Amino acid sequence: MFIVPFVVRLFGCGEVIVDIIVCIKQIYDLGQITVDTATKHPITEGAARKISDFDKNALEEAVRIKEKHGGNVFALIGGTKEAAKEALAMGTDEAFIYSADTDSLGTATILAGIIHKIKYDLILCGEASIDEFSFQIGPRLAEALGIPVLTYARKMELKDTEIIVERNLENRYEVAKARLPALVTVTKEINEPRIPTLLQILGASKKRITEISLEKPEAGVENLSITAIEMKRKEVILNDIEELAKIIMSEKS
Amino acid sequence: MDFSFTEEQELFRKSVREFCEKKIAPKANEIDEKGEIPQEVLEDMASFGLLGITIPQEYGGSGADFVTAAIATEEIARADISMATAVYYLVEAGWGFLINRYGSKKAKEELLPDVTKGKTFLGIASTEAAGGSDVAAVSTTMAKEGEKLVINGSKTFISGVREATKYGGGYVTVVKTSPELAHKGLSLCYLPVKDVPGITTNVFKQMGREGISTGAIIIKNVEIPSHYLIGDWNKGFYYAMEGFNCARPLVAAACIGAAEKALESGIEYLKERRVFGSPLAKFEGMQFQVAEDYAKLESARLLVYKAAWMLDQMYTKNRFSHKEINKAVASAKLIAPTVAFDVIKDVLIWHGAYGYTKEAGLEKGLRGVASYIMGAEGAQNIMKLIISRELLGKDFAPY
Amino acid sequence: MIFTFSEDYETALEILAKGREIADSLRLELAAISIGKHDDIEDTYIFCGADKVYSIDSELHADIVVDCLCSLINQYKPELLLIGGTRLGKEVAPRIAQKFGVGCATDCVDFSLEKGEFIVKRFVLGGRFIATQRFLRKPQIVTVPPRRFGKKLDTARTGKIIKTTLKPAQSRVQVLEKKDKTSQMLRIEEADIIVSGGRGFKKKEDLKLVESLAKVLGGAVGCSRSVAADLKWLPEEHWVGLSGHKVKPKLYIAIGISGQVQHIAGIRDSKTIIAINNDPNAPIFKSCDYGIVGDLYEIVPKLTEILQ
Repeated sequence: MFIVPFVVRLFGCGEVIVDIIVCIKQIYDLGQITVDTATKHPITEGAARKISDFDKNALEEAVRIKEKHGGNVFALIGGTKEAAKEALAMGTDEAFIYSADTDSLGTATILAGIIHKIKYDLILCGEASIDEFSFQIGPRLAEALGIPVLTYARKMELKDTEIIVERNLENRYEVAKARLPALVTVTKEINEPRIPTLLQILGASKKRITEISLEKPEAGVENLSITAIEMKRKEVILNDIEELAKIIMSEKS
Repeated sequence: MDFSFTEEQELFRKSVREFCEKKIAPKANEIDEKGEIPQEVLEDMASFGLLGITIPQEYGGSGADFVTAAIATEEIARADISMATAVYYLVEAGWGFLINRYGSKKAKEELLPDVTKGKTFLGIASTEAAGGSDVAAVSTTMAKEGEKLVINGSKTFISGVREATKYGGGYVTVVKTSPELAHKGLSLCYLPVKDVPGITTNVFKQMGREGISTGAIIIKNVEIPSHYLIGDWNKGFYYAMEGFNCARPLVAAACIGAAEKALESGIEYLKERRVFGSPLAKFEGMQFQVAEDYAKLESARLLVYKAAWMLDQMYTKNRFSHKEINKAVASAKLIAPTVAFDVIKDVLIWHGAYGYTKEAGLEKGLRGVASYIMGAEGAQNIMKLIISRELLGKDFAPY
Repeated sequence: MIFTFSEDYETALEILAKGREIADSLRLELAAISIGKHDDIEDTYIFCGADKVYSIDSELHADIVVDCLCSLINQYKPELLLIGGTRLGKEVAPRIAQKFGVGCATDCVDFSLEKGEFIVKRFVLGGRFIATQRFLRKPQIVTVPPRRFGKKLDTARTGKIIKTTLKPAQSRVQVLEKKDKTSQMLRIEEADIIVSGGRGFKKKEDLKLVESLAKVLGGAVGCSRSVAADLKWLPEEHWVGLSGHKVKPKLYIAIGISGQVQHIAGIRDSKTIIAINNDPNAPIFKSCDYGIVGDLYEIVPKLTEILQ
């Protein structure tokens, strides 16, 4: 385990300034992915790309913390300059982009490698990417950096050198805290991400985007195939409510 | 030659689309049914920086160029294909730009921040009962009386009359200041309409661009302060023509946006809807219509963005003569509404009886786009006159 | 050896049943890890398939689970870890995988052995596709969604219970407060019957129709993305869909929901889907078992009355 730069600067009367890293994945718009009818493989050609939904919540939360407490927001983006521009327009100070053609192990390794070189107090991730839904990057990255992780945060608050979050668990909410530096994964409930305005977009054009190229890290799993699921439903159209009620009663039991 | 938008423009389109899908599209039916744009939609548009987008930052705008303004217009019309929201937006973008360019500093400071905040409406009042297309024949007069300007006359088929009297706001108004001088005797002024002594308004029932009103303004001895004069005395005709040149590409962009959205939903429908055992989309008769509609729409879209781009080039780099601008703008405004109308009509027909229902959400697009075929911001025949005058020479102008 | 762990009792038994199958075909030992302070669940673990139970008497925190499992992995070098795919499970599995520099597959819905190699399947790309994956190194770590597989109880089974002397490190995360969710909020994912409303409803109050039908059927109330996210008529706990809650009820009734891809992906695992919509061309009718075309304001009250 290595030493993490721990820089929480006290400012004024107990006010805390933090530097925040947000990890972002750019994904294909799932609605625009089509299926090759012969092979059943996904076709991503022509599909628009976007920042994965919960990562956007993480970014929004980081910018809100910055607006309240000061500090810098760095975005680490697995994707293209397009996503970086959007993140910068939303209020990120500086963006780093890398190519993320690997699995969760590989991605966490890349991120940890980049983060070593950045001074930070808090790392935010979406709880999962909406294409893979693997929930892995946040917990893995925290482990790789040796910092505490608070998952599934639906609310968060910075208090002195601690982060307090309300976690959304299966059948309860749990308020928990950890000392900075820490990593938090956020749920979609935490906020509604801002949509950058024209002025924010134009203002962001001067901000720095750094492209990082790294050796491809080792992966832990290999995809053998990705194929479309065929969903066969009965598709029976009924005309009679009584009939529908009968079906409901029989399906219910 | 490079046909691409800048990275910033592409990102802006994505942003506006997301904004419109969240804030406007869910209200589109309500806007059409209730006949007004809900206040919260206008507030959202203002805080997102859409209202008065071409107005400089010092007055709360974004100082957008016309290509950017056209992108937003196209996206707004996609979300509300009745065109109502797009019209509200684009008249402010077009005429707000003009006030900023020629209005007095005092008037700009007084009026523009409320427009960009979404507090007041800003429109254009040119048409009169005796005729709209022949701007030079305007008979509403304005005279100097001491420190005041006094206006008498009436304006009709004016967009946003109810909005302007409800929220406040007013009109860039074309008035006659030297009756003996025909078009060289026109001036432009700002005419407020809410709670102004001497102003009465009424709202028309019309074919149905329901979400924004159209009506008449009767002006009797209405006094306005002298700083509401826009630009120089008796130069109004030229300012008005310039203002129309700014607004028309946006009008055309709105038509394109509405038709694009309709065509997309039509294509989805053709793929889903099955007749005689196969999807409608498999019939060549449908495929050819899809292809033709797309090609027509795309050609109109190119005219729109070319005209907007030429305006930007003119304002920032002093390129292109007025003649060239006139031709490009009039061509876009001539083609776009007609093409859009045809495309939406085709899509309606594909939907069969369902297309005729309000629920299908398409007929309001046809009603909306029709308003720009009939007249608003210059009738189709006037566009032809403008183009032919530039092509044939002034000597062949019928007026 | 194969390890299983879930802090959720039911899930722990389900993954033991799955673990047993795999252990038998690979001729491996199956060990259940039990962490927490509870009474005598170890016997049940054995009845449900475990050969051994390593029992750790400790507070249940993610940090502690990671610490304990890592110690046991170092000691026993298991080939495979099956972890219950609860929220805790999905946090600890990747953390352990990162510690050992290995892969992890979460929410695996199918397992197989091909030429002795362990192959898993999981949904990807919005649930419309299924990925088949293999592991490049060991230990192989997977999480298994709760209620995906059945449990098997055999009270004649015997095994060994080992109380470990592990002393896990302190958790770096301190829990300050626990608030139970109200019954209305409780796990739509777990409901057997869900009645959902969408944009076909004209106003918020009209969702009462959904509520009363759900009540009659003893089901939960769900909704589409726009109802939760755009209109905010219902809290997001009710949001069914890919970015909302993925559900797998026996019966899913979609009322006034057009059936966007994201929604369909969220209800894909439902046994029977019923759709009520006035648009005969709504995509939901292509993804339902039974549909009825018509005005929900007429159909739903009548249906509720009949079912009552």
